Amino acid sequence: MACQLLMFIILNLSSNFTTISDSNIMNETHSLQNETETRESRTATGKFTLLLFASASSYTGTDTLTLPSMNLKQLCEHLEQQYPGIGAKILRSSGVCVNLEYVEFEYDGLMQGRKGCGEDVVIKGGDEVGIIPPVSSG
Amino acid sequence: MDSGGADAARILGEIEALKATKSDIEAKISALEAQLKGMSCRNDAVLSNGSCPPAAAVAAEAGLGHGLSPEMIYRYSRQLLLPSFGVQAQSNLLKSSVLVVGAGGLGSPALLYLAACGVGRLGIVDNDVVELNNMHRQIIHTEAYIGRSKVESAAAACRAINSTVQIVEHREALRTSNALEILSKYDIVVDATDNAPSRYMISDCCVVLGKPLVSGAALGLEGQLTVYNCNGGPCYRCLFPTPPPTTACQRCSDSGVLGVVPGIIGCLQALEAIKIASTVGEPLVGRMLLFDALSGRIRIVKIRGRSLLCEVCRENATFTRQQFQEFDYEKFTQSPLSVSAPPKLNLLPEDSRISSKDYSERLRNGEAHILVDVRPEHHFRIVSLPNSLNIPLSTLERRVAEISSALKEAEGQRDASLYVICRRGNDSQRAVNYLQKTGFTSAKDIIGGLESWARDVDPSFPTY
Repeated sequence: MACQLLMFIILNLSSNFTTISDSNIMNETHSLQNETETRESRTATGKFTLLLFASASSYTGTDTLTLPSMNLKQLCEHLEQQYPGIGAKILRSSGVCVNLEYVEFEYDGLMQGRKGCGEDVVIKGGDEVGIIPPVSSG
Repeated sequence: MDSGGADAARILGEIEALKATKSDIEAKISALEAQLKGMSCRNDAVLSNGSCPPAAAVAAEAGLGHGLSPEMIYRYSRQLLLPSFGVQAQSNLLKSSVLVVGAGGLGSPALLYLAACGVGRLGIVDNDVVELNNMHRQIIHTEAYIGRSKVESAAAACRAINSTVQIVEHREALRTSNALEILSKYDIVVDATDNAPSRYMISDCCVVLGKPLVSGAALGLEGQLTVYNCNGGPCYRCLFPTPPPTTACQRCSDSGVLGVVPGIIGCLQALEAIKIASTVGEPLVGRMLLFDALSGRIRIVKIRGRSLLCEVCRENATFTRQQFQEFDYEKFTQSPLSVSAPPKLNLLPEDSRISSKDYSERLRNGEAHILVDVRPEHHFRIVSLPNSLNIPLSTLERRVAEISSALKEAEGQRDASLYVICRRGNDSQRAVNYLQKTGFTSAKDIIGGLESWARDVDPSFPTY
């Protein structure tokens, strides 16, 4: 009797477990599909994702923005307009990467129209751009 | 009851005293053990007495060409068994020396793993003492060491894990005057510091000396990791030529940090140092790892190579030892080399300020007033003074009306006064500055903020 009860509990537990892990897998698959879809739709609509790390994120109060495709100078101008002061306080000392690769970027030079400071960087729909300020804390 | 209380206090005092003695004795024992190990492995006089032959001699006798003693083989067996690591990597590790600058959140796990895995010599630089609010992340330290040197505490912990490693204590702040001498004694440098000037200084010093630099940083729920000045890769200045302004330099003591986040980055720093020291694998050169704890994401960004414009490391750069020693890193980054507390502002005339003691007087006398606390909301939720009104500095501009209506409500027959408080007394001055310009001419800030309240008025008031 006790043995049957135990069996019942085990079976029940294991069937519950299966259900849970199944639904987890389904959710994961679903969210992966979603991610691919949004990336594709971003490409189609010409939007890119801007990732704001560390102090860039605390300055803007967000860690991700979705923006229409533009060049790097326009992006800096857009950010300065939306978050006044971000240029001098954050962008000036930050690095910028596009699709996980650093690009040549120097804020002051770019704003003053100096050559070789990032004026050639065009951000296309579907790109992932990161603003990476130095973190010195530990 | 009273005598019971006195007894308890006496017992507690005795426990504290005994604990302190115990950790003192433990530290002395481990230091002596380390000293003895060093002597017995180097001193031929001891060997001729037949007491303790050096490891290499034993290894040679047993026909082991790699120099590992039987005890070492057993101690490190689990990593010797790794085909891609093995006895050669371990032997390289045992011959290497690593300097960890900073025995804090990053340095704690880095030091523990470097000691455990068997680097030959491990140096620790720090000038701080252990504090209670370190304990949630600086896991190398124990409560018994609160108030004592971090280097002393970390060294004892490393010796307790592995008495065969030579631990070198540098109980001093790293400065341009001592950095060249200290760093030159090691093969690899691990930057586990907490401030911008130290990061530029350590990177420049590594370039001057040609040392690889394993650099980690963590704040809040994010971390960064890369290896500088190694295999032709960039230095810190190549990547961040312009230091961030003081306002953007964030400290753990202001912004907060989840303890395990620097723990993870510190572990990865140990791993990179081990890879370089043992010449196994591919160090994280030319790539930066960005860790985001909240989303559980790790991104590896391909970073630039050496910058052609880098003043320190570009080809034909002429950054000499002397220039390094004369460079003012605090001026360059506009922030101090030690980050105990932010600098104290002095924005307001004296009659616009009041001490916490004077404020408590006025509170006792029942003066009609309102107290505005301009700290962020999550700070306010930790602790606040009774009847204070929380209007974070960042929202002050649009919430001025709330202050006007609160003042009207508080007014009896006289005009109600307006006091502003924050954590340490800087933001309250900025707020009063703004409020006075918008018509609240009698607004006053409470000098030194809640920290001075806790120090001068109510010692039981929590600080953080």
